[in-house]
Amino acid sequence: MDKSSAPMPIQAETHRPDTVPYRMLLGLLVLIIALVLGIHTLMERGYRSLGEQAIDQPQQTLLFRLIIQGQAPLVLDVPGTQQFIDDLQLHNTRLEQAAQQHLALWQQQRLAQFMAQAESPIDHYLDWYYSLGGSYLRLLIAISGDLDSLLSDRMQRLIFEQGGLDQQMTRFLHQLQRDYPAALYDFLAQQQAVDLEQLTENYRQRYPVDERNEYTQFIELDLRQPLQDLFNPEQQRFEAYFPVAAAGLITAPASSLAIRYGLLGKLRNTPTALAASRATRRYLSRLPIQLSARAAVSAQAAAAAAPSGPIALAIGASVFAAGIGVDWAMLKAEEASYREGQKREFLQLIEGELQQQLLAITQAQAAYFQAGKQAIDETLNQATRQRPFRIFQN
Amino acid sequence: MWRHVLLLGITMAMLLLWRSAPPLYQDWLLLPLWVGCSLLILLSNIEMARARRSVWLAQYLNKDSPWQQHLRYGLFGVLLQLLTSIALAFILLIKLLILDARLILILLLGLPLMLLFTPWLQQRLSRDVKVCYQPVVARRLSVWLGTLLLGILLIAVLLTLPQPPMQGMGWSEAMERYLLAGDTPGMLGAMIRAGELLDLSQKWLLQNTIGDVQRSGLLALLIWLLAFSSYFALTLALTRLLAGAAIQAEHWQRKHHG
Repeated sequence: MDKSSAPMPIQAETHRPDTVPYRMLLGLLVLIIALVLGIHTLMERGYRSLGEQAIDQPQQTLLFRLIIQGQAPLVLDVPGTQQFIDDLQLHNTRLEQAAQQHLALWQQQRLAQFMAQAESPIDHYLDWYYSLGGSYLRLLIAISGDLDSLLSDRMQRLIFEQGGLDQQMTRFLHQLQRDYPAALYDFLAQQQAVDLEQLTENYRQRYPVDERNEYTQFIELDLRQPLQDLFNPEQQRFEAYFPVAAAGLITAPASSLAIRYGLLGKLRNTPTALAASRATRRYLSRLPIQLSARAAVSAQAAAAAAPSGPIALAIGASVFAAGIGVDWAMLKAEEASYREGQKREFLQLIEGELQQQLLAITQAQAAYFQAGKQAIDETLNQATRQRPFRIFQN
Repeated sequence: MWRHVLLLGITMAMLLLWRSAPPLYQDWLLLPLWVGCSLLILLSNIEMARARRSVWLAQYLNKDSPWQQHLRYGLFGVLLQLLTSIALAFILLIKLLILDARLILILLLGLPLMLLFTPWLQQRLSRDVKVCYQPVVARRLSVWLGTLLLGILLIAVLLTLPQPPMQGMGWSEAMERYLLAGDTPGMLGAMIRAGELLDLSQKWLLQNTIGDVQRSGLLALLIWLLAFSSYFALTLALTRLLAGAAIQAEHWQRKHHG
């Protein structure tokens, strides 16, 4: 092919083939430089002429098309959309506060109704507590030992099991949790539809946008699902926001709430209950002295009258018994003064315990609204930032 | 050996430095780098082409035939290789600027390939290959191996990287949204954008016609592989460049030893 180059010795196989033309290297370098420069200038010139020909294209505008249920799509530019979402979230926060107030009232009404029912089991217990049999039993157990465990046992039996307070409380909480989403929905349905329509209409008038621009690009922002989720609290979705402890209340079998909440110990330790049992204990501590005093009086009487035989013994015994009886009556009077207070405190304690449980529902509502608002933010984020394409979807 | 390490290291370092240089310097340094890369690639191209030709001729022709002289690889061939080298060097430089920083790490693997694998290969070949052809054959084999290996690695990573979502978009819309304005001035900037435009267009086309593996199954994988095969040009240019540097290092070594 190349006849002009100088003849070269034919390569012997033991010698290295002259593969690289080092003699030509300088020439090649010059050639490369010339070629690269030439190509570069050509491209540069082409680029320049292209740049001169280029026409300034109008800037593309970006618009959001917001889809809200039951209304014509709302078209807004980017700052307008941000403003709208902010306002929508503010509106949701206000709605949440209103709902909370409204439902707190609703809860308190339900609770008051329940507390009216709770009186009878407590009366049942207190009846036993201040009955003759109950008093003797307490006295007996107080002498022999564990008064606390007797009282716990009786409370559990009389208030919570026979009285049915345990079952009533469980049923009450269940019903409340079941009815809560519906009550929330009723409230939201009244408030929300009107407000949202008004908000949208405001924006429609405040930000009129020319949609017919040729260079307009639309981004669709579908708010139907997040709004639907926020304003239609279905039972199951709402329950998902209950804290774990409260959620267990719904699903767990109705085990004794009294034991679960440690109610027995608390009931036993209310001030009046303590005072009442102190009265028993005080009586108990005086008992040995009284017994010996009565015995001495009857002995003196016996000595003075000096009757002998069985009559003397009978007189002594009756004086002794009369003395104890007087004390006993005084004890009953003292205890009776505690009864009303004890009942009031029991009721307060149970009500306080239930209030704690209602708090869980309120917290669930806060979490529910929080999630709803996050979903709206997330919709906006997703509309502006699409997921990257992946060849392997995972 | 240290000459190899030095020269190859300098070559690679120059490329990386240039890649991370400010856009203005990139523009200035484009020409010298382009020339240098073209020269090194040319060295390796010519070495391979000439060796192939001389071996081919030796198969058929007598040693003293004048056709040995007429048919050997001459000026015309060298000029052809020159143009190829300039094009390859250009592809290498532009692709280097476009490439994701994570993928640059894979390209760095070319260094150990040329510095460790090639001498090892040459030693393995010493029993079977004629002494005079040993370095040439070892380099040629490692250039092809390196091109394939680095290319496959690059594509494997590329297949798992997320791409800008362009499904359902018009071409101009997709380009307007995803083509970066870039801050490199002049012709180089235009070339970078052109390279990115090609890349994006390819992805736009495949996203809209083929989609992902879930949608089109193995066919999608095959076509995406084909689409990414342009990266083989990059790895080919890189390994050729490194081979050229190795040839130059060997030349110095020989001159030094006389």
